[in-house]
Amino acid sequence: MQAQPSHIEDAGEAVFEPRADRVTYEILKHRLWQINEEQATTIRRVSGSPIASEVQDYNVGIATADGQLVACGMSVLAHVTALSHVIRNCLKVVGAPRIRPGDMYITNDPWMGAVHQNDVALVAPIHRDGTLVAWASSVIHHADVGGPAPGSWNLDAYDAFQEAPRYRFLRIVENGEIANEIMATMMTNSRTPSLAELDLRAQVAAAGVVLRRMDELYDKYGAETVSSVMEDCLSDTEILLRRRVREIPDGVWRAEEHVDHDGHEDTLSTVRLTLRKQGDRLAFDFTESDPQARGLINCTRSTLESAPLSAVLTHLCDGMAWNEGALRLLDIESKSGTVVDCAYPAPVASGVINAGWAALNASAAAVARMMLRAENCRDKAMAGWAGAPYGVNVFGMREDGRSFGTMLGLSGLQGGGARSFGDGYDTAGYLHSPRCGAMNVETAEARYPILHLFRRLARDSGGPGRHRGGRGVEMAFATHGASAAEIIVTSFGNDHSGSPGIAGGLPGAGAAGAVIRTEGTIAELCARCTDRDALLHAGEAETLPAKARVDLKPGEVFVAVTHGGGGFGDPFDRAPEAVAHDVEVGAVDRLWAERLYGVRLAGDGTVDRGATDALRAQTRWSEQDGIEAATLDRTALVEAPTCPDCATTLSPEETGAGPKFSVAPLGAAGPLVSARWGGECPRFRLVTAYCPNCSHSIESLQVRVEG
Amino acid sequence: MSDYIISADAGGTFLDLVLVDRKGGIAVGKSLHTPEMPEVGIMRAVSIAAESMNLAAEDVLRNCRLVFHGTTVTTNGMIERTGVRTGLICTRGFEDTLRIGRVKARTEGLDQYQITRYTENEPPVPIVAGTDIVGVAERMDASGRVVLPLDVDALIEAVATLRERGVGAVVVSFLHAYANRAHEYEARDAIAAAFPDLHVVAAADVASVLGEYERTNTAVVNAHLNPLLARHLSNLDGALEANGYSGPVLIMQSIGGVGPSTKIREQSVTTLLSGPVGGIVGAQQIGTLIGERNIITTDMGGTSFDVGVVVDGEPMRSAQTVIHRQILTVPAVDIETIGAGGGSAVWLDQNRNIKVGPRSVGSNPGPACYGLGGREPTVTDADVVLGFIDPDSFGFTHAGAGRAHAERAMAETIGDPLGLAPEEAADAVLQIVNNHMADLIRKVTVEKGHDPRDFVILAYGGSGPAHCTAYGAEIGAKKIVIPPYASVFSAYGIAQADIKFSVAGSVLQTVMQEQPVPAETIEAINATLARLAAEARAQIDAAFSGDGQDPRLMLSLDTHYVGQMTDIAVPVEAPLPLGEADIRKLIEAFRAMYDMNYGAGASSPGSPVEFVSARADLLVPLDAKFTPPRAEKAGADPGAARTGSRRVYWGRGEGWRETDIFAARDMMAGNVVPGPALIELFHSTVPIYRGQSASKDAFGNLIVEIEPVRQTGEN
Repeated sequence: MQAQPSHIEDAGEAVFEPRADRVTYEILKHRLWQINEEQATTIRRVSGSPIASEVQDYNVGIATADGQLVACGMSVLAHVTALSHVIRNCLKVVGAPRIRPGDMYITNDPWMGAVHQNDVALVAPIHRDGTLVAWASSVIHHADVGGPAPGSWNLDAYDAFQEAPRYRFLRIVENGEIANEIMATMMTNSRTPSLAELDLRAQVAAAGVVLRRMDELYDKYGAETVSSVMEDCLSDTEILLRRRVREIPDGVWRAEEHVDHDGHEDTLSTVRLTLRKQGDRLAFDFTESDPQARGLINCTRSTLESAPLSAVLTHLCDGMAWNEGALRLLDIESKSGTVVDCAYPAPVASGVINAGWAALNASAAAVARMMLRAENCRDKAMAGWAGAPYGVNVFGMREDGRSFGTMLGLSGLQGGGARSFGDGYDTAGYLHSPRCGAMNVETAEARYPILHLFRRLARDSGGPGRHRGGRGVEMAFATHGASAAEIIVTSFGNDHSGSPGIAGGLPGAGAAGAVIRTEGTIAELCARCTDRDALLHAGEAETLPAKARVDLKPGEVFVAVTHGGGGFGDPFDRAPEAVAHDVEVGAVDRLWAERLYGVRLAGDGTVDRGATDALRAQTRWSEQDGIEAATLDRTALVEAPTCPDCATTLSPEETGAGPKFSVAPLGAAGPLVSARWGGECPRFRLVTAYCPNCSHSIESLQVRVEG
Repeated sequence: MSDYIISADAGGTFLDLVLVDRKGGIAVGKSLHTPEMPEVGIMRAVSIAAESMNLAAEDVLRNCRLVFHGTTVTTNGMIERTGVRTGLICTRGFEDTLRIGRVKARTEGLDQYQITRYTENEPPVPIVAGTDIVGVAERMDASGRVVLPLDVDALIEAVATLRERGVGAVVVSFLHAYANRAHEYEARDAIAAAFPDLHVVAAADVASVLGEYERTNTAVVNAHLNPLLARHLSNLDGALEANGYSGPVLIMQSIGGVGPSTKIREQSVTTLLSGPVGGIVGAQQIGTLIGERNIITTDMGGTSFDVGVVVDGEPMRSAQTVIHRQILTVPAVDIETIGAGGGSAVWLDQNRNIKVGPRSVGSNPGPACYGLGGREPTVTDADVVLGFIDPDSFGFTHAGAGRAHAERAMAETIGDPLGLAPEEAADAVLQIVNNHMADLIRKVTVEKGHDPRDFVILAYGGSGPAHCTAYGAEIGAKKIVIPPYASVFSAYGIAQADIKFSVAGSVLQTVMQEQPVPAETIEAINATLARLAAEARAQIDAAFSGDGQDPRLMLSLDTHYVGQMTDIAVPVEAPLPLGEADIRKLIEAFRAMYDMNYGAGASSPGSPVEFVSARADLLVPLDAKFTPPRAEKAGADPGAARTGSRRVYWGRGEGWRETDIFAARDMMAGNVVPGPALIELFHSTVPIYRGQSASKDAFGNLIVEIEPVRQTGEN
């Protein structure tokens, strides 16, 4: 083992000089990445779960002996960015001397670095001549790891003891052989035992591949050289990123994100972030976040750390090798007992997709706004992606008496944030999972007794802006061939949207879910309920909050809308022809084209120039709104010292003419924001700041106003 | 009297043509590829090749037995979206299936670094515009039962709208049509009756397996490209006929077999790898000649490095492929590719790490050594600086000038910033690119459970020979084979192909390993196999019954543990109908193959096994294959083939060294050239490192026996 390099103090002068020669460094770096890719391929092939192989809710990594992530797989980043915690805890709990060659360990304990109980982490120590030199690791979201609720998200839990069992480093492989008793334990504690077995076998096989390949590398290059390259990979990325960060002006940016419903009650928990950028360091301060919740939405400190890291990798590390070297620039502060750093034994079963995801959204929003101020990366700033997960666990009994169960991963079916030069991607997947996927409808229906009524891109789901956010979907299904079924929904962003706009753009659609109770047969449903609007009127609609557990009986239909991406820039700057095209292809409703974009179309769908000019010339703010805005916490709104469009100075102290404001219900951002409240969620207001000179919207935020 | 075989392979720049006579004599014709009218280039190349045999094109064509052809018409059509405007009729509620693309369609086919560039990863432009997609009321469930009947009136109205918009072809793709095509057929027939001028296709007839995104995408790509291919093939037929040819034209398919042009023009989606697979089929044939059944094929051209694998005499293939970022349910020979070719740019990143590719400098101005104004160093420039390649052979520069250009570019971009002499910089570049190529070879072999040390490497393409002895040594291959005609090897390979057709259908039957197999399960498996066998046979009857021998039918079942998404194709060897014992044997075979792929003990004895889909492959062996003449063996001394010497930099240990050069064409069978040495081929050079030796075999192949002579990265 070589000594770990100390953090580089001044990257401006730091020169990257690998300890091995540059040729060996480049060759081994490429090979390490390839070995990790092979690990990922093995997981996809051997796992029996569509969650891993179709939705790609898994990830793989290779780490140094002390747990620093060197090769990061391109699936769910949160799975491996907390790897160092898993490995450090493994060394501590098992005890370094008892970690032997040929062993592999599993944990799903969020206090040990796992992100939630479903995400079973396997770590395999790699030894050379008896010395621990590296680790292989993988994480798969297991469909069910036991506990009181199918799919292991117990909405009723008040503490972690009422959730799925947590395991601390069970030795699933000992001396190269699978420990049958551990496998049997994992299987008996799962409602989907054969999936559990195939998932675990996949993880064991994948780590086995890494062990064999690393051995070949050590044979050829020697352990010392390979380890030095692993360390240097971290410095390589660190130095590249420091150089990029130094060129960004120093400053402070704030962002908030909110999680509605804690599993028990329709609460609202806010994650508050202050990002301070100074020199080549980024400090993410989450200490002002709300206290931990009573239900399963909390995340642990290790999960929190993946949020700023994922935001930095996806926004600032394009073209770089993604690894933990980026973490060396980050200072992450949090307070124990908050929703993003909960104290044992708070319930955490869906923390990674609630508080953890919210922390990511806040981090991404702050980083993106910081990028707007920087010459070197302004063009790469993006509005918010994929506001919140939409986890639907479906469990029940088939008509032939066999049980079934899975998570239908809808989280990938969300819009991407708009870019500075183009619209966001439709159904883009989520930000922190570059290789995201979604199941075919046919696959879901062939496996599980359900039948979809529709699954299509949702109109008006892309956040309005000069560049529009990508679209999410609307989808609905009923049971088909099931004698009993229930669904457990875990989402957030049903009150507001988790996909904020940027630079005056508006948020994308929020999430919405409902169960519609009809008397109809499946054929009648298929014939009549061909979109969400038709469905909502087809029977008695029970609007679901962000977390819900409901039965789904014959004649009942579950319907959901997923988040769109946020918009970039003032929607009034969108070319009217582009809006007309949006209307033609069904991306934007005609009525909303007027309201949101100030574009009126003639009967034939072409732009009515005169009416459009008149709409766009209207005053967009009122002095009254300005007074109301002044009473709200709008610190994040007045960051811009000058209008980005006309360069008017916006600081009231200097000119006496600060920005103008409008304050409106969230529904002003579109029909799918705060949909469950008909656009009028009392907890939020949409506050938009305008340049008093050129009338452009500068920033539009969803501000929490109560409870 | 049929005396000749012609094989024409269209490439990016050139049309390569091989003309073979009865005795196995080969003439090569190369002409500039004419993408707008490919048949023109083909006829020109026929004339060139015929001329070299002192014949006129008509003499050859009148006495020609078979014409083989690898085409790029469909590939180019897909990249440029120049096919017919295609409309899609789908199940109402699922109109956005193609655009949603299972989310992953946006990033499929992107490498690790491209994927980190979030703002640049636009999804591929859809083949069908959103406004040309209409959903109609109908619904099947997963077992193929009708849930909602087809609304024919709405269908006709929808198609009328599409036709008004200018749509020229219509694909009908409904959910679960793999289980029951009744609605697709009903719709197809109704459309055909109402709009006789419109080309209409049922998607399940193009691809009939579970997965609506991939199935629909495959069908629309096919419909989009069919008219392009049909036009090209009629023009080609016309040109050949006008010059006296009356036999069939056989088109190479991605699956590694040919099909008659009359049939293939309706199956354009099967031709997207028409050119590249030719080399792999040729490798298969050379393997048979020289007794090697495990071969890694490597094709290094100007912009990319392509790898294929022949295992136990058969090319590895997959039921689904990604071609130009489109996910397609078309069986195809596996070809993995990275952006590492002779023209790949060499550069330093901000941390001064040496990077190779994936960007290529293209052909104008091209590598610095061309002397056409290129300032960026490339892999070819590294070869030139080290002395491996003689830049004057490209014909662009005067003696010595090309080398100076290459050295200057290498020094400016790599050498000076790193404090290395140009040859040291070039050597570093070469080691890195050769290792990247070795990594790709490892990926395609070890990931499937094969050890590259059990394989021989076959190297072709413009830049392949110059690098194969290094990456071959790096992976520890048994030996390296460089075939004659390495630069027209795909054309050569295409002429080695047999006729092949492949049809697939869903089975979706689950068997509990420890329980009796229910009679209805066995019946369902048998029914699908029998139907596919009949469909495959019908292809041949309809298509071609000329030169072939008796067709061979091979059935297989794609099998996995319930829930898995990756299947293993288990061959069905017992005669139909299968009995319970046969099913048990299939499961045993599946477990054995599973263990081979994923390591002994990976299979789970308790998990239920699912037969996902069935496939029928029909093969008609062609008699036409020629065998190259076998040369008499001469002595080991290659002295007569020596053409001179030049200075070559063999790495830091060896340094500069005056090195003998031999001409491959002058080497006799049995001649042995010990390394270090250079062997020059047409437009390319093979470096033979110290500890390696090259010989020529009786068929004209260069065989390089290798030991890992140079510890890569050791300095």
